[in-house]
Amino acid sequence: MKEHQRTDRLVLITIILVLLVAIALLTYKAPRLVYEINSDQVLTELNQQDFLVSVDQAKEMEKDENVVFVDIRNSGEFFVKHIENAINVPKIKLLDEASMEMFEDDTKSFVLYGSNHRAAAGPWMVLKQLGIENIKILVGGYSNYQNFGKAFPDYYQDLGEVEKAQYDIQSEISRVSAKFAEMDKVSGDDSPKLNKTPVKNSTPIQIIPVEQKPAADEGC
Amino acid sequence: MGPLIPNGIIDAGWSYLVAFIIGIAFGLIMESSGFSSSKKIVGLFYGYDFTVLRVFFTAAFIAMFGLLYLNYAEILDLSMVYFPETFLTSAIVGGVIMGIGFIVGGYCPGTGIVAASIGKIDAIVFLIGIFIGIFIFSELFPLVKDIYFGNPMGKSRFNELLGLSRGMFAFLFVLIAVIAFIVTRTIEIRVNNKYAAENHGDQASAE
Amino acid sequence: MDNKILHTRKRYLALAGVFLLLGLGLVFLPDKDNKKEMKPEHLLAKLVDKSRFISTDDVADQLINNDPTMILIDVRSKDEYDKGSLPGALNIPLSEILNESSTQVFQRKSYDKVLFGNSDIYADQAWILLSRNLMGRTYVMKGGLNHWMETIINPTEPNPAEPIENFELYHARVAASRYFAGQNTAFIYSDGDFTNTNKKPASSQTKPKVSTPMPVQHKQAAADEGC
Repeated sequence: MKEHQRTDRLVLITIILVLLVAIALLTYKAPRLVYEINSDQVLTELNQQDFLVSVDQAKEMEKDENVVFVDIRNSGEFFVKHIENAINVPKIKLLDEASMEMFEDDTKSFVLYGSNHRAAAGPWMVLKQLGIENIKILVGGYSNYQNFGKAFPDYYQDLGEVEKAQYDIQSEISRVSAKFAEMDKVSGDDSPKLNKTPVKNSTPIQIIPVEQKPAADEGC
Repeated sequence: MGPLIPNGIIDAGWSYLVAFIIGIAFGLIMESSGFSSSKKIVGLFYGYDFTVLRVFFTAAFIAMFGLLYLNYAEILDLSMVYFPETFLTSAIVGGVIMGIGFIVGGYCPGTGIVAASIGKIDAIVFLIGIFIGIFIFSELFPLVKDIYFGNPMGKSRFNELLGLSRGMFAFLFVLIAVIAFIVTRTIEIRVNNKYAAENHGDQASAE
Repeated sequence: MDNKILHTRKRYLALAGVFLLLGLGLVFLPDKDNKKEMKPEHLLAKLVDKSRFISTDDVADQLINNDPTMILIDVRSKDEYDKGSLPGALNIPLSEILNESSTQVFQRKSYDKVLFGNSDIYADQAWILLSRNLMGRTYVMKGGLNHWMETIINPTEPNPAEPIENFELYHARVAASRYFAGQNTAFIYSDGDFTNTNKKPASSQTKPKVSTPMPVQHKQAAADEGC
C-alpha cells in the first residue's frame, strides 16, 4: 500500500513537471526583431562604402520608381519640406511592424535620409543588422540635399570630405600658442587663464590586460 | 529573469536563507529516499540496492530538463548559471579517494550529514573523519598543489567534449538512464532472489 | 507479489516514457546561447535620444581636471593619429574596434570611454557596434576633432548682442585653449566653467597614465557557490 502511495505521488509530481514545461514553452514568444548579421559583418560592409548615395546620384534616382526615399525626421519637419515622393517614417517608428514589412519588400530599394548625415547613419546600421539589405543612406541628409552645389562645409559630395581633418593639429596649436605669447607680452592683459600647468606630452593610458588565473573554487 | 540573485531580482542577502531552505529540502528528500541507512547506500557497490543510482540519475536529468527548457523559454539565462572549472587530475584523484571512503565508511558527505542528523553514531564519527581529512589536506596543501591545479580544462561541458548539441546530449542521457534503471532493476531482483533463496524463503524487500 | 511488481513496473515504465519524450523534445529545440546583446528596439531608442553625445567643452573640462575615469579613443587611422590627437588619447581605428584587444578596453566598467574622429560620423558607427555588444559607458564627442579645434583651440568670439552665457563659455574656452596650446606658466584664473582658484597647479606629469590592472570581467559574477 505504501508502495502505491509513493508512486501516486511520483506520477503527480511528473505531471506537474510536464505541465510547468508546457506552460513555459507556451508562454514563450520569440522576439519579433532578431539580429541576422553580427557586428563583424556590419563592420566589413561599412568599409565597402557602397551603401552611400551622394546627392547628385540621389537626384537621378528620384525618377526611378523602384527607389523609395524614406524621410526619418519627425512629421513636422517632413511637412515643411521634403524630397519629392519621399515617405515619412519618423526614426522611432522605424522598427514598427508596418515599417519593417515595408523594408522587407525586395522589389524596391530604399534611401534613408535625416536632417543631417548622422541622423540616418545610426538607424541604417540597426536595420542592416536586422537583415534588411536594400537600404542606403543619402550622404549628408536633407541639409546637404538642400545645399546641393554650394561649397564645403554647407555641401559635401562624400563622407571623406567631412571626416577629413580640417586642421593640422600641430600647426594650429603652435599658431595659437604663438598668439598667446604675443598677447602676454603686453602687460595688463586680462584674458582668462587657468592656474594649472598642462600635462606635457602625456602618453596614452596603458591598459594592462590581466590574465585570469584559474580560481580555486570550492567544489562539493 | 533567472538566475534570480545574479540578476538582482532577489537581493543577495537572501542567498543564505535560500540555501537554508534548499538544504532542508535536500535533507528531506534524502531521508525519505532512505539514504540515512548506510546499507542502502552501499548497496550500489555490492549490487543489491541501486536506489542511489536511480535517485541521482533522476535528479540529474530533471535538473537538465528544467535548465534547458527554461533557457529556451528565456525564463532562465543559462550562461549566468555558475559551474566550477574542470581540473582533470584532481577530479580523478578526489573521486578515487571518495569512492574508497564511500565503500569503507558507508556514507558520502551529504548522506553522512543526513544520517548524523537522525542520530546515527557511525555517521557522526564519519563526519569527524571528514573534518580531520579536511584539516590534513589544508596542512599538506603545498605538497598537493600541483595535483589540485593539474590539467585545467576551464569550464568544460560534457556535451562539448563529445561534440553533441545540448539537446541531443540530454536525450542520450535520459536514454542511458532508463536503460540503466531497467538493467539495474533486473540485477537487483536477481541478487535479492538469490539471497532470499540462500536464506530459505526469506523474501528481502524489493525496494 | 509478482503482480505488484509488474503493476508498479507499469507506472515506472510510463514515467520513463514521459522522461524520454521530454528528452526527445530537447533534441529538436535549438541550442540557445543567450548572447548578451542589446535589443534592436533599445538600440534605436538610444540612438534617437542622443544621450551618448558629450560636448567638446565637457571633454576639455575633464581633461583639465585630470579626470582618471575618462579614456579618449581616436577611431581614425594610425597615420592620422600620429599627426596629432587629443592629449592622452588611445588609437583604436574603426576597423579594429571589435578586436579582442579593443574589447579589453571597452569592457572596463569603471571608465567612461569617449570616441572621436575628425567628425562624429565614424565615431558614431563605432558606438553602435560597441553598444550592441553591451559595452556600456561609451560616448561620442560631438563634432569630433574638427569641432574641438573650432571650439577649444580656436574659439570664436561671440557678437556683443549675444547673451552673457555665451561670453562666459567663450572665456572658458579661451582659458582651455591656453591650457592645451602649450602654455607653461600659471596665471590666476578669472571666470567661466574651469573655475576653482583653490586648485593648486598640477605638476607636469611625464609618467604615462597606467590604469590599475583590473581583471577583465566577462560576465556578472554568478553566485560562487559550490555543491
